[in-house]
Amino acid sequence: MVSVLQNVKATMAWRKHQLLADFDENESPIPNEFKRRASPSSLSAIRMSLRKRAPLKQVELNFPKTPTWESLEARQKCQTLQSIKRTAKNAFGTVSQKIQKSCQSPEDLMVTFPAESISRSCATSSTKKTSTTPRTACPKKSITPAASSKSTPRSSKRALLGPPRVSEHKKWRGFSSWLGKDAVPLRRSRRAAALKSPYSSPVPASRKIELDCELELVSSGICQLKRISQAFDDAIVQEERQHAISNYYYLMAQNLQSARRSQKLFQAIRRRTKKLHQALGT
Amino acid sequence: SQAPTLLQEAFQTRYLIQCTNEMNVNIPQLADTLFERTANSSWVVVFKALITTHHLMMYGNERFIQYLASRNTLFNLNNYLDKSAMQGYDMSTFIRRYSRYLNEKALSYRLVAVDFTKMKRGIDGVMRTMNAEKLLKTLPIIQNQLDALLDFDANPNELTNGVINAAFMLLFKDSIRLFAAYNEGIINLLERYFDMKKNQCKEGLDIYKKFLARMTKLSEFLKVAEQVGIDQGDIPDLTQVSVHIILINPIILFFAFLKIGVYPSNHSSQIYSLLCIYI
Repeated sequence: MVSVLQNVKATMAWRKHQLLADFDENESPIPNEFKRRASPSSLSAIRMSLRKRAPLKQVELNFPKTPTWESLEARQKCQTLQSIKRTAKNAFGTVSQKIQKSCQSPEDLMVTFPAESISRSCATSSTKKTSTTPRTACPKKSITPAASSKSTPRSSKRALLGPPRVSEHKKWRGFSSWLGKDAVPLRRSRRAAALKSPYSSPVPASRKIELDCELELVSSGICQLKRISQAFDDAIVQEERQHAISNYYYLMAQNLQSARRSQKLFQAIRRRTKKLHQALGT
Repeated sequence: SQAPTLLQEAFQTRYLIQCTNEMNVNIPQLADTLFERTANSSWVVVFKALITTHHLMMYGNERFIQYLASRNTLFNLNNYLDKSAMQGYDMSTFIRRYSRYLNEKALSYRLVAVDFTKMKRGIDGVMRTMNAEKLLKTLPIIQNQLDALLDFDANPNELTNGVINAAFMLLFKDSIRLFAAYNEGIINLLERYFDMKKNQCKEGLDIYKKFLARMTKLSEFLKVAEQVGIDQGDIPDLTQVSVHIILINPIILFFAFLKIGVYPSNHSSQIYSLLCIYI
């Protein structure tokens, strides 16, 4: 055991000696030499140089070239510019993805008038107003894309669907509106881009919202059919009531007829008994 | 002999209805008597026989319609024509259509053993509680009966005498009951749609598309009823609600298409054209 330890110590010492032999104190450490050297002073030098060269997140492995302070400063400037460009691209990417989703997602195929009319018709009993709004809103789909362009990504569910030209027009207008009021700040854009990137993990929350909208539409259609069902039931009940009344009149008339017949019969019987009585009396 | 007055005819019809409820009355004999009168040359006699038959099917004992459903053949008036009277030609057309509807009504009873115009309605009604498989078989039968009813297709200017008006009135009463059952079936279909199998969904979607077309035709029929003078309180307000259904339905259809994989989900122009078909 002791002999093994001594051998280890010897090999380590031998390595150290080799490193020391190669090292020149006057010269700055060469990058490709870092692998060979393991001394504490060299390690600290390496650490310092790495810190100066680049931030921890980005490490550029330019071993053939000797880094100088000037080159390091220039590189830093480029890198900040590149990072700015990258964040801008990410922001644009999220925005373009939002535009695509809003143009192609099912909720955008909804037209405003059914949603509005559903809310109105379900809230109130009168349907007169709602009958006009769908017809008037119908031509608006192609004529007034401005109305749709005002919709933000969050309200894209209520946007009108138009022909492809209109959708593209809407796309650019929507983009400008997003850059205006609803522009995503650059600091959050990277995270947003990561979340909304096609390579990121799926987001069930948004899909859940879409499904909820689909189900809401279907349920509103069913709601309308149920109202029709109620209207028909009311009409049937009224008709049955009238039929019952007419049946009652018929039965009363029959009873009256039978009562008259029985009255006539009774009178006839009465007359005959009188005659008999008279005949028997005499 | 003198022709009976309308009141007398009404009394006679009610008397016959009462007869169907009597156990000692021979229902087949009663029905055969009516069939014999449809062989008459006069359109008035034929039309009145059909109206009386319809009246008994609606208000008489169920034994009567059961007997009609059990027969192999009913009214054979597809080629009927009365050339003698002035209104003969016009009324003959309606006699042919009316007889076709009565045949269809009896056939429906034969197929499902229930009268759609008399079945229980509501949340716990027959059509609302039916399972998907039975629903997909029953709805086409209602559809066929409704088609035959709507094929009567009378304009207000053709309803010019008491006989055809009586027939139209009975058809109107049948239409609201039949469509009520149809509508409840469609509600049930939509509620079950997303739980059905793929092949059932395709069938269900086809039925639903036909329902939309029938709704439009029925609204026209109800307009004629209003113009003829039927009380507005008796006519369901279908015209304004139907607009919403027709507009909303493309969206429901779209999701249905998505579910059965008929439509791609990222072709906005195709979807737009689909919406344009219905709007």
